[in-house]
Amino acid sequence: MTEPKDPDLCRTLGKISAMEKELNHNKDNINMRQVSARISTYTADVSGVCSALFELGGMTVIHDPSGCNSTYNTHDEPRWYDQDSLVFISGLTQMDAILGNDDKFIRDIIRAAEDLKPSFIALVRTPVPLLNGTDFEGIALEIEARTGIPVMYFPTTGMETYIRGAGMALEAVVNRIPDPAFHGKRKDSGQAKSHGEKEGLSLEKGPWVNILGATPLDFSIGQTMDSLKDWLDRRGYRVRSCLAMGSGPDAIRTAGEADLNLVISGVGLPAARVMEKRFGIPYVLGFPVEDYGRILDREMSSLSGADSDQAEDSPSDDLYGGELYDGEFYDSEFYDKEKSDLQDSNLNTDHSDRGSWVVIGEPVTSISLACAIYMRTGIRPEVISPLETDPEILDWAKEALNVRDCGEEMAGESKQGMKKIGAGGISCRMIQGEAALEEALRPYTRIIADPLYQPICPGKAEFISLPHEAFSGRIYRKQIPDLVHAFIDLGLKAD
Amino acid sequence: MIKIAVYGKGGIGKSTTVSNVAVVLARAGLTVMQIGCDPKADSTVLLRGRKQARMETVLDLVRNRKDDFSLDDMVVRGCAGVLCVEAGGPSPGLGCAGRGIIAALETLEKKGAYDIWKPDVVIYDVLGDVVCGGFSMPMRRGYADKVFVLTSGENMAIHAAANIGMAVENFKSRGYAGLGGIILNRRNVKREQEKVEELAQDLHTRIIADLPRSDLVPEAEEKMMTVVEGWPESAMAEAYRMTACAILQACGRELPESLRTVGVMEC
Ligand SMILES: Nc1ncnc2c1ncn2[C@@H]1O[C@H](COP(=O)(O)OP(=O)(O)OP(=O)(O)O)[C@@H](O)[C@H]1O
Ligand SMILES: [Mg+2]
Repeated sequence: MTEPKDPDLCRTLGKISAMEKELNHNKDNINMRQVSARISTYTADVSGVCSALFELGGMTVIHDPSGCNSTYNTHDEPRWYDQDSLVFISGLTQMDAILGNDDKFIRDIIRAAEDLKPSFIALVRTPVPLLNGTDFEGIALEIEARTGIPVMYFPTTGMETYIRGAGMALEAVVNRIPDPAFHGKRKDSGQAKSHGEKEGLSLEKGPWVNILGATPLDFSIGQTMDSLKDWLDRRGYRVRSCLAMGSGPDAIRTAGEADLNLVISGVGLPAARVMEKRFGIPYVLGFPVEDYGRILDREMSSLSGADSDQAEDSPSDDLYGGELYDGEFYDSEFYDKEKSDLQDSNLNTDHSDRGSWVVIGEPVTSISLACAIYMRTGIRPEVISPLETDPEILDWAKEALNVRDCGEEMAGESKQGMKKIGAGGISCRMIQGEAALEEALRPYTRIIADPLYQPICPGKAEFISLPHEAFSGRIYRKQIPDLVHAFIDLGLKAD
Repeated sequence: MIKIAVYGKGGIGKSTTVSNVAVVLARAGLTVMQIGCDPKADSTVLLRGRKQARMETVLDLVRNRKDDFSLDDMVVRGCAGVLCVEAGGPSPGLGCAGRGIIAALETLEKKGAYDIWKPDVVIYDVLGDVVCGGFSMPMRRGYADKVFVLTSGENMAIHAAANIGMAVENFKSRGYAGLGGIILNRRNVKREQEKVEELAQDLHTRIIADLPRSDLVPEAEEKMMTVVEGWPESAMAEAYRMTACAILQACGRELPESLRTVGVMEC
């Protein structure tokens, strides 16, 4: 673990370690389950909303005295100094709270909005107005009526993580994008391709994809997002919009015209569900970490209407060909070792001499990484998610190494209903709280996690550092790997 | 579903009046839910009677069982099947009663009270004075559609009613409930009718019902029952039936068959 150079941070870490001693001293007396004394905490929901909306051209107003804003711009928002965005705090005072000065809040927002003409206004709740019971819904309605600008309200508490905050922000955004069917740009849902022009293009160039769940909190501002777009491009997918990094408001407005949604983090799932319901756009969970991209690609092409023959046209680094399960897909050496495991889809940790591995982090990317490690080494890491994890993600994990059985396609059977076969999945558990995590980490011999998890890792375990912006902020930003090509940085290059 | 909130000065007769109205509407075949929004938790006592004198409030449940309780735990079926709910409040002298009302109403909604019971009529019986944001919760969007103010001709009651009327007016731009009208609950003071009519004019509304002062009301209270249940033939019971009809009409609802014969009030 490298020492941070930032003097502020050193001081903070010093304070933390003093507090840690104090807390350890008190540990037996108090119920400490929710306290983080030795590890960091994840970015909170308030910053999550701001992060998701940062590039969308709206005005985000955090209703609080100031604390949430400084946390956001100093720790949670790497784009703060390089990109313009309208993020404000209301400057709520104690007297405002006591006297119910909603009018001041409303007036200030209206004045700023008249100046800045944002395309939407987002109101973000924090602990003070939460405890005060401020009627944001009513306030939103009033501001919308008086400015004519759409106002969204996010009932964050400041006590949950960015997964929920950014998740509800993207969900609200896709709830408000126009329905392309309305403009004749899309036939009924279910059928992937739509109007003539696009269909022509699609035949040549493949389906349109939205990337859902992109924030710097999970993917930082390094190479990862570019590599992801590159990966999609090489496989013939065209990015319709990326929610919400690198796509302007115009691209996002047309997100409803995509053929497929790729959900790259837990943040993107609520939005994916909305778009499936509203526009019939299917979605795939996963991030193309190294070899896992092959399974993800297979899954994406089967749902987007791009047939597997098209997949065969894709570049030669693609390892399709032959039956997937003949051992070519997985390294055959390991396939044999794992054969029994494959057959009963046993998710138990591999307690062989190769030890047991665990990845800690955001569930969708961590599960994808665990799959990639399995495909490369035959070792099946487990995943621990300390973040809010949707049950759907846990279900997906159980099958993340399976692909749809395209071998004997039966008439009348939809691709979505098709049975899946392959190597099963990854065990993913949601565990929150420092004490519970420390306990859970005890059996592992190799731990892949953000460096700030190290203090609670068993000493004998090998620690592989995978910095996560939402956990350690800017401290290790330079060491954050490009997730698409993560193995070199993680020192996991196949021998 | 119609949702109404009844406001008015403390002790003016809100709980007594809405309990009688609730029984009238329930007897007419509607599913009625009465929600006491007052830490005293005494809104539904007349409906629950002696047998069910004790009930757990929503905040009691939250306090004692965190989230481990169901919709049924919050509701007691009272007279004529009226669904009785009491929001409850913090320990007296502590906490924040207004925020408690917000928490209780949110809990009720989260547990599906409106979706599962599908009441035809929801009545929020709100504590005397709108002293903080919490007590305007029942007027907020998604809660009551109409606010009714109960008053007598006493100055204090009129003053409180005027304040409530003003709050309703102020919140209009937030999509809150509008004023449904004034219910006059007589105390037989001088110039009672005149003063309340003046108030109605100031608030751009009208008196939709006129309840006489009656000894049957305290008598029924002794027996922990409603007048319409104990003395259905009395003039007071008829006055409550007329009030119930007037409320439905102010909400733009048709009267159920059995209430069509009730004499419609001149105003
Ligand atoms: N029309 C009436 N004639 C005679 N007594 C009445 C009448 N209406 C109400 N009362 C009496 O007035 C008292 C107060 O009534 P009630 O408890 O309903 O008032 P409230 O407005 O709900 O009070 P609070 O604000 O404390 O909740 C009761 O004793 C009740 O019996
Ligand atoms: Mg009362």
